[in-house]
Amino acid sequence: MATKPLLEVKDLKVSLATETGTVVAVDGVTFHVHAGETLGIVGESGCGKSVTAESILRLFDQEDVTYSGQVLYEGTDLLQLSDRQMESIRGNEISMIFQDPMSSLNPVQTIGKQIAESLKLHRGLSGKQARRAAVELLRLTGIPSPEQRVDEHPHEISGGMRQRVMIAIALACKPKLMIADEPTTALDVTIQAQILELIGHLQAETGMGVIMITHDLGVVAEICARVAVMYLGQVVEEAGVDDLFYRPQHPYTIGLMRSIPRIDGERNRKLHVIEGTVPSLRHVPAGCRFAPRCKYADERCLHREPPLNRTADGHAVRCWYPGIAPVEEEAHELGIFG
Amino acid sequence: MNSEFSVKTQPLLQVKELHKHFPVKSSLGLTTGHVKAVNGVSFDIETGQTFGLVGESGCGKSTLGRTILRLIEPTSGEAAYEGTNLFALDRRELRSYRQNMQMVFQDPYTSLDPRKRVGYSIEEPLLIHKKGNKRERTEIAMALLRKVGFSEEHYDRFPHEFSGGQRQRLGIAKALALGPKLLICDEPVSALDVSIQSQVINLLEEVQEELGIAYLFIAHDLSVVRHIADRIGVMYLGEMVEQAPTEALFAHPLHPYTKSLLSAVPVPDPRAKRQRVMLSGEIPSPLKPPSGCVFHTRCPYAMEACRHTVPERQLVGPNREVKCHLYHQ
Repeated sequence: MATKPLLEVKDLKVSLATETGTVVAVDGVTFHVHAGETLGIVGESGCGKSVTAESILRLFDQEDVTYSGQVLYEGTDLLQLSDRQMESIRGNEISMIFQDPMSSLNPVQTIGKQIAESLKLHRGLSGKQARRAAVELLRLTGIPSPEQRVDEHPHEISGGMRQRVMIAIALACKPKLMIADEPTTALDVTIQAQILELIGHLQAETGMGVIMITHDLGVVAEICARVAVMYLGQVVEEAGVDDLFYRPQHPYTIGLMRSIPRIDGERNRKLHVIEGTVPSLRHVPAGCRFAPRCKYADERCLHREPPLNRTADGHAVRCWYPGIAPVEEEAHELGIFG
Repeated sequence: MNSEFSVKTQPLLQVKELHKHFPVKSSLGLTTGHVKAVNGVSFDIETGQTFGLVGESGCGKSTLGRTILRLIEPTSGEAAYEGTNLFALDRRELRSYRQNMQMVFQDPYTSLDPRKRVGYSIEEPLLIHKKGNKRERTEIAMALLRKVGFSEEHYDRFPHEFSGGQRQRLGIAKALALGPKLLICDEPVSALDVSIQSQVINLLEEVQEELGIAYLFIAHDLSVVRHIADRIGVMYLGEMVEQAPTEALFAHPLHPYTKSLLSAVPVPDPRAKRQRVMLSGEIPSPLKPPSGCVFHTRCPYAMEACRHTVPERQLVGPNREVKCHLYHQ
């Protein structure tokens, strides 16, 4: 792709000041998203995927948080903008949806008013126009009888509906980039399927870029074009989705893929276990951050931090010995289980 | 068919026509209706086997699990443990039967007292049931800690010193203390990260192999249930719409709801070809379940009969049954 990316995150570092010292939640994260493309960011709790996403929109309290690096949106570094300028980016250019729609919806206001609010604010519509547009947006996100729903409150509708309302609000100003943070994690699978289809459909229609943050490799395989895998505040592997699933290189990525029970394939295989637990951000291991849990780590891994190396085909890995861990089929042939 | 059943040994647990209806009260305290959380469910759990219970939120799977142990009192029906109907027991008898059946919860904090050392929490069921003396109880707790992958030094630690996955392993140790023959596991791995989830699943499998315990494994994650269960029951709005051996259910789902549920699960393979049976709409309110077949409002194959006639349980093929008019002979 020769065109300039819509969003380019370069060496982003986010430090949070806490009562007991500074914690670096995101440490040197680099990735990009093109218009019309879906980038997946996967990882387990505490890997920094949500902090990364929220940092793009600078959602944190400025006093406790220090950013470094660059977040280039259409060439402009968002980290350098004034609060005022940033406000016109949020919702207008880049919008975000969260796992729990209830936390971002106002419980005492009708859903129509909440959608209309951002239309009036960002697009300068009149009350009447905004209401009409709100009904259309609800219809677009697949909410049945939107003319009635528009006057209901968030508690009167189901979880799946609320997520649709959130998406309607996020889309109100036709953003060029949507950041979705675990948007379907709290939903049942049949509803999840509907929401993922909706996001894909809206993306095809509007050409927006999407950053999908999730822990679910199934969701990634289903809707993402490229994937960044995060571990303890860093991207450890990044590749096209097919490349990542069929030629994973980092022992952590391979471990994750082998540890999930799958709806397809061998049912009775013993699940792989990644030994140990994710260390606290206060005790980040020296050298490679995954080394203490990695079966293949040697002296070098324990002492020297590997860089994120990118090959000519765009596959990036942060590992001294990429490809050393066996993928499922190889492990099976070698008789390595667990 | 009948002769085949008569030679079969008695199941460990036999649930028959279980109903649990919660009254709905108006603001004046008058009963205005009932939520039929579990509505006529029947199934068997064999010794040492795993029965998986799947369905979406609100389908009644958790209520079903809790009602079997009488953590919630049933409205009607039967749950026979080795032939004894648990619902007919008085409190004292029930307590002694409970040693055989324990529960593992999604959040292990519900079974571990945050102010007590974990060793004590694991011993507590033994104390309640007056088993052994102090030294014997401690020995059992130590052995259980080793079984779930800890060392004896963890005996004196507090729950907050453990991670979520470790706490779940402690919850399992506690559930095993009385030597139960049946564990009811309600979403035991749902709150865990994938790499931790596999540890707990492997542990449950090892424990089953070693001790011959049966599991009622309640979960919404179909990939996990497929991995662990020998037999699966699919619930929708309080009813078990289909049950079958795991392989058969995944190879040939029969009920339209099972078909759409299985097809909705995202496959971690970007080359996978998907044929999704999309469901329109959402689960109806259990306060006003649809007439006839409970699934007809969302079913792509709904016929006239589905709107007013409740489908019967149909035996179809070996060991499987379905509640659907499409399979009515």
